[in-house]
Amino acid sequence: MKNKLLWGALPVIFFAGLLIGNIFVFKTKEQGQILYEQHCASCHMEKGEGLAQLIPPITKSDWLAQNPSKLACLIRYGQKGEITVNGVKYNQPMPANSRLTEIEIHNLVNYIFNNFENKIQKRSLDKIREDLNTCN
Amino acid sequence: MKYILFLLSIVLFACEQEKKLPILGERQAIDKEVNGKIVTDTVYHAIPAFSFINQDGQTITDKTFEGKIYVTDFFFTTCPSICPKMKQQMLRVYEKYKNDDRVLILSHSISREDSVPVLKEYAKKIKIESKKWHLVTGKWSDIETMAKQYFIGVQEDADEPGGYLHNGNFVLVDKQKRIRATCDGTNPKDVEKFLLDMDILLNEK
Repeated sequence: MKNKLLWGALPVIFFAGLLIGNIFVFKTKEQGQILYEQHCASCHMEKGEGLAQLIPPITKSDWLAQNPSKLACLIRYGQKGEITVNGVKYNQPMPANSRLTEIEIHNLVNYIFNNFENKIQKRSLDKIREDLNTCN
Repeated sequence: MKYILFLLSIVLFACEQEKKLPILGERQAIDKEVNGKIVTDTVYHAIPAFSFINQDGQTITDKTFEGKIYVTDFFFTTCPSICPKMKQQMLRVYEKYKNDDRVLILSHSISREDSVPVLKEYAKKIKIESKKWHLVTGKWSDIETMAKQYFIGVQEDADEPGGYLHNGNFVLVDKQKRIRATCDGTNPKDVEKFLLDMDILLNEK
């Protein structure tokens, strides 16, 4: 009887193990990362390094650290004119991403703030909504 | 023993054989007369004459590339989609052959907004020298005609981000103006292989 129970449990343990293993091996991407790859990576590059003096880096960006409330507007409406990031001046227009929703922008902003060697405090959805109401 | 030597010689012979790149594009067989005999010759697709203006305002023609191999692509300075990646990868080509006089780079702008000063500014920002890497502009129809010659599709399209549609291929042209290799200029792995292809072409006799 005991033996039978053990044999019955074995497949269950086996599949549970597979499932847990899968979670570790195939980590699902968060939405912020998917959005970054779709909308940002072609210019700011996968690792966020930007391009020469043309496109500013996302990585370890002092501009982001100093202007955390401005990123939501920048993503939605784009950027024009001069911007100084990590001591380098850039002046290349960035296109708007008018199709992104507030929630998508929220996820994207927090993905950027918590990756690319940035350590910027997460912003709540309410804060992002506030940010978006103050766009010029 | 003899058998082993025989095998070894085959292996060595195989290694010694030079690697060659294929010649891409359509080819035609034509008959021509050499010393009174009819000989069939193969004519390969070759890049015709062209004339554009580079970032320094200089006229750049097919003559500029005489006796050199060159890599070419189509882009525009305000392109928000694939161009930054292409330029990041083309900079790898630039860095590798910066001091190699046998190699040049030719990037065609497909935007009507990219004037000479705009191209100059762009060149300054990506820190390239015009004697190695020409960013050129010209009549749109001429650029389009040349794109077709390099098997690259370009199109004006108001629905596209930036207003133009184009593919991000790099094309390698040999001294006889024949296309010898292409790659996806937005794909670092593809560009890796392309750089090796360039070395193979440079070593061809």
